[in-house]
Amino acid sequence: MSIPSRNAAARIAPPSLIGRGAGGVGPLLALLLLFACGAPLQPAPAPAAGAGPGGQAAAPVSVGGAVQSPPVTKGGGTLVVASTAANIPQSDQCPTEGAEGFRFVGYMLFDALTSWDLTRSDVLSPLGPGLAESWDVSPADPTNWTFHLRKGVRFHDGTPFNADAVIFALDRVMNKNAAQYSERQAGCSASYTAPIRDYAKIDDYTVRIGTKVPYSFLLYSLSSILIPSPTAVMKEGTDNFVNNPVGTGPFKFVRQVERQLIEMEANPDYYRGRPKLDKLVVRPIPEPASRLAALRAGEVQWAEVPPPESIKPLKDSGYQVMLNPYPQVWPWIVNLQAKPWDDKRVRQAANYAINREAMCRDLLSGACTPASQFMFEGHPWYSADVGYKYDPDKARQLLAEAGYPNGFKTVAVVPSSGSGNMWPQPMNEYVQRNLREVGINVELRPIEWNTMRNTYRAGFTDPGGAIYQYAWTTQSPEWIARFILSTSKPPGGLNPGGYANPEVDNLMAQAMATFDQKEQDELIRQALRLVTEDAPWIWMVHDLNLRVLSPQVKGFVQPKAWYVDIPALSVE
Amino acid sequence: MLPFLARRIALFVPTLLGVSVVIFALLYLVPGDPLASLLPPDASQEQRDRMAHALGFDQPVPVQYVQWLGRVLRGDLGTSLARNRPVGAMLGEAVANTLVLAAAAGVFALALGLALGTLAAVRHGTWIDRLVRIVGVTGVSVPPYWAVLLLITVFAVQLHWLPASGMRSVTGDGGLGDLLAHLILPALAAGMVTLGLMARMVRTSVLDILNQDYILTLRAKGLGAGAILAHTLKNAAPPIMTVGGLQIGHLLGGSVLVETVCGWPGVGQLIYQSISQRDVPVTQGGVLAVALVFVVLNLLVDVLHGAVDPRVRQASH
Repeated sequence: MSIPSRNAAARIAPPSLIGRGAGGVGPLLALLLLFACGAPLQPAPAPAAGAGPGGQAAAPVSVGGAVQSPPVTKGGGTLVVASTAANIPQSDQCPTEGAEGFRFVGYMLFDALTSWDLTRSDVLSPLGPGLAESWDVSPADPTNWTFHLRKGVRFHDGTPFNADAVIFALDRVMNKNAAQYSERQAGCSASYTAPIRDYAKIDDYTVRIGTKVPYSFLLYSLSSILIPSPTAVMKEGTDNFVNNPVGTGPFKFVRQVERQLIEMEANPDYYRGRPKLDKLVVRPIPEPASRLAALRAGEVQWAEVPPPESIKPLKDSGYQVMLNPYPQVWPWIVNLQAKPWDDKRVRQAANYAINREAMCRDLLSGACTPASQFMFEGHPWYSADVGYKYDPDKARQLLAEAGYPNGFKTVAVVPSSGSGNMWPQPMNEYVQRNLREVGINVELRPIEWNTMRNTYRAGFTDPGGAIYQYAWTTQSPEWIARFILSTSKPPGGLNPGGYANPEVDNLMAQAMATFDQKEQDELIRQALRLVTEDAPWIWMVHDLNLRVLSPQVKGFVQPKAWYVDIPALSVE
Repeated sequence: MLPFLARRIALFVPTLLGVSVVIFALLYLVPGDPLASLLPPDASQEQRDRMAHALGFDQPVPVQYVQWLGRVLRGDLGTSLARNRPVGAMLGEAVANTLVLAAAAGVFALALGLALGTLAAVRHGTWIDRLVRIVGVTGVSVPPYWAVLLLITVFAVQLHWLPASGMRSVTGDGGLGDLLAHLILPALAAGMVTLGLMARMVRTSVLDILNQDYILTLRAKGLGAGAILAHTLKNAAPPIMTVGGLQIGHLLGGSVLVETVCGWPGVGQLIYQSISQRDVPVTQGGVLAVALVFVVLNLLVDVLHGAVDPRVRQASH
């Protein structure tokens, strides 16, 4: 779970059966003990550090944690991450396994022109320079951007990064006539390439990119277009490149085993300096309970989203439990084009009916924070003077005013798992109970994540469904625009409820054409303030990116972002 | 025997064809669509059409089926939509991994089941018999995914004796010892149902034979316990073999839940993932492979029946 369905990249739902507990001991255990004692191996309680080269696992491994294997270069050890992905992300220019693929593999192997600064936990992670050192927008024609590229950067294969590489990467996902064009990569990158009109090399370290309309959100789009080594793509073949990916990122690809692991090693020539870690291994473990077991058994030092009820015991036994808000929201999205949700008062009533604090505190052991609107407190797009708190009396009053003193019945289509949806079943049932208290009787219709994606995309076509539960990232203003613009209609738009407010449209259009960050933030804030009052969504909670690290992991900062700064940490 | 074999092998073709038609139809009848996994949610209709065309999804379903079948007959199972790799290669790896798990689980469950069942029957009514019956009931009624979590909790998390998941250690490429250590817990969990079933089945069959008049005759003639057991087992064999054969089939079909919980990259996990991603070629290939295993195993069991029981041989002529 827990991949914010944020961007376009969030394609694959890590299937997640709900975690299961373990309890009493059956008579089989006696037999099992026999078997277990015969095992040739006594894995050390301490994790991955040792285990010498060549898999001499049978030898009693010394536990002390001394890494005896590769050349000891004052290294920061090996980090093994248990990710929620169903399979290892395919690490091409546009990685699979959704945002999880970008987080743990894409941004490790590759860079983009812009990148997220993930070094702080107390401020919102800003988007800043990446492979482009700086850029400017032509004052005469704001659709024309000039990017000045970083010099002296090399791909892992030793070839230089330059303007040709940028053009090559864009051709690969935009130019159907290019030899390296890949339908798959183009499809996967479609949301990010959509605003781009044309592009050209100016000189070896300067690139011009034109947008279809003045589009200040372009930097966000570019942060998701990774730049592969042109030499490697042509050598491997554009479809085979994924088996031997070469980028400029902090880690180099070493090997991958389907459904088991992807292994990367430090890139000593990384332009921001060599990562502290020697080696980074990402394992796909879609089952929350299995991730927790792997962490507790010491096989991984980092587990994404364990079952929330494990938070306290993990803290008590010295694990580092990481929680921090990031731009994500878990809402119910209603159909504004039919009764009863066409009435603003009904939507506001539903927003007042949700006991968000209790949901986060009691149901999810603190793994979320209440969402009174799209953004959380402290975000530049957050408005302190509006928003919803638990107030069932006000909800009943608003319902009565809207002509539903006895409430009504409605249907919510909800996913059974999936990207960013956190723990859909208990959470949706909680919301259902809250709404029943004010008279709104909701029938929950769970469907599979893959089906949910298509259902959402098609809009509210089935007359039975009036609500969709679908979690989203709110990291980029591009996505905010897709949720609230009246023109963002399905299919292809992400506003299935048909929300339309000309003032909001107008403010967002201004924001899109405003190149000053502060002004842009303020325009978006004003737009979202109106949206909050119109309540086209029922905002519930913000995910806190629950992850648990073993005490051996040093120097990790949980940023206010979906992504993480892995190069900065080390493992003892 | 030969015509019997030939007839049975000829039956493979319609069986597998039938399975493939049903799976193909089912995959298109259930809601959902492979493109949803490949394209961003806000992809335009044009992008969807292009991708559908590139993957051949713009053809009518029967045409897609015939194209698929044509490729399969030429030995090409197609390319995975989600992974963009040849299905044959993916299945090869997965089947090999499942074979390892199934072999371990099978040996453990069948051998122990046979031994326990026989012991219980011979010592009918004693505490051993009761213990075996408890093992039998436990085996078939405890859900393997729960059992495996329990095993992981005890042996990996608490005792640190065995790894919690995966097939090989992350550090070091892992020799045989490494593989075996990873194998024990999933094999125990995957074999539990078979063990329970076999123990109960063997116990009942052997007990049944032991109560036959001819065994009484043998005893009356003064045959030793060992010889009597040999006669008993040979006569109890056919039903045991049938159940055992099917159980091996189940183990090879992939213990989906055990593989999922243990992160064992076998064919069950592969099919499970391919279904949730609507990766049609992988699901098709995987189900076909599992169907083939069942069909072949059934045949083997029948042939063995013939070898053990002359009546079957005669009836087949």
